[in-house]
Amino acid sequence: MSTPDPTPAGEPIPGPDAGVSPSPQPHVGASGDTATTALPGPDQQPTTVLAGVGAGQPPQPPYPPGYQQPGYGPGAQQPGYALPPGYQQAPSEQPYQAPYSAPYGQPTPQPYPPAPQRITRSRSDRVVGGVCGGLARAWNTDPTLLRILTVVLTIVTGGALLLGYVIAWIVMPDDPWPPQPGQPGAGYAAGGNPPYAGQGTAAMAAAPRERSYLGWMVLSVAVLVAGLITLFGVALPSTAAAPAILGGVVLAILGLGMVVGTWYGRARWLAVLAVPVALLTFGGVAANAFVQSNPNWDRWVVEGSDGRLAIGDQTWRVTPDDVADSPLDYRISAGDAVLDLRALTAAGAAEGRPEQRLEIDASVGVGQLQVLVPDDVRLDLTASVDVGEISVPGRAPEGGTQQSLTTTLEAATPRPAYLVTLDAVVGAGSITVEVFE
Amino acid sequence: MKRHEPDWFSLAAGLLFTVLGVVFAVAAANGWAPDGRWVASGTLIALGAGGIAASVAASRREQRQQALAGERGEDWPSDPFA
Repeated sequence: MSTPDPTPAGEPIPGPDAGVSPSPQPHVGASGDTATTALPGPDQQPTTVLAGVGAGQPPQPPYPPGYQQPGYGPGAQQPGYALPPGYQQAPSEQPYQAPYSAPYGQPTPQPYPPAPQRITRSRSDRVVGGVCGGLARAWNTDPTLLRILTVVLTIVTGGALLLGYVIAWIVMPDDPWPPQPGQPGAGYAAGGNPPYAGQGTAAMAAAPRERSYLGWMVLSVAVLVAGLITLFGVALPSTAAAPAILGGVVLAILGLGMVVGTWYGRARWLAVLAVPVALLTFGGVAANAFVQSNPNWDRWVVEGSDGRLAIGDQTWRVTPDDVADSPLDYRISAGDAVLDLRALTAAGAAEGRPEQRLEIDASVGVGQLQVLVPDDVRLDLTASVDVGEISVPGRAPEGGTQQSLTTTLEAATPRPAYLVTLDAVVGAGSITVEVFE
Repeated sequence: MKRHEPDWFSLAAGLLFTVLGVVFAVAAANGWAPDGRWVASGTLIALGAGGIAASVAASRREQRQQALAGERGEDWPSDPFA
């Protein structure tokens, strides 16, 4: 850095454009667009400096005598980047710069090879693809905090950021291997989390950090315990509580591992896993609390007639021929159902026959149940909705939780052809009865 | 594993998730749920406080190492943005 300067003080340095007669011109600052390659050593008085000596650049007038650039030093030569006095960049951070005293036309010694300035994926600080590690190194920030932010934003954006991560994974090149001096990752290739980029690599090379297996050990214990809880999950209070208890135990193990990592080893990256685990566990705890506080929660889970979940809209049409199969049972897990009784009219019944009795059970887990009734049918209705609304002609709709209603809709004719007893159950949704003439 | 200087973010996050895990497990076993507002605010406060503490500790460590390097007559690259 302080190599002897062969240029005599007070004389202009001959450059490629030495024949041009320069004229004094005030300089606007160190971040200007003029190259300043001919600078004296730190222990010398500044001399007349020739600007614009780069290849292809027009000749520029020298700075006025006595002018001294602020922030004189290697870092001050980067446009728009001024370092405080006395600051000295680490070798790995420095772009290659020729020594100040290199005379023109002679090969200059290169103390450091040109360091690539591309943002690369970290090899030594990698959880998934090394994207966060590489970005944290380039942005001079903590990779763990960046990972937590990535996970949180991935959840908030509904997974959109995950796509960005994958794209960055593809676009960003990997760290060179084996690491070269002056290249990213060279100072901590021995293992362990890298230092912040601003701390340089020379000091870290002198004191490499020990690779820590604490995080993986804690994670393995958590997975093992989760497996044991799943194996013996039958002993848990209820099936609804089991996932929440499992998540809570795993979360506590991860937390204890991080507490140990405060003083021994490193396990702070476990926080990246703990955040989504905490979110999922809290969702399970809330769902379990709702289930435990709601005695009718089993109405939400309705199996179809074949014992499997039946999802989708359905229409159940009841005809006079179905009376022989009474009681009828209709089930749907999720979706909107229409129970159509309009075929049970007096015209459909034989003249002089006694009234026919029909029992129907209709269950909807999550969705709406619409009952269409002809006015010459008497309907004995028992309706219950866990969360939702019941709407029956002649009555104001009632909504809320744990709604139930028992009523009779009399037929318009004095002798109805059919007496229908309907037991309608909906977990979450609504029951609507409409009467047609 | 050798003992190292305290990692305050790890301590804050560890205590947070340990407490959350225990509370969640107990709540699930007893059929109740903690208030989501308290959980969310507590999580953010703990992580933020841990990050601040870790940043302050890292800054002090940097200054201490810089002073030690100065006593030994060595160059210690400092971070102008720290």
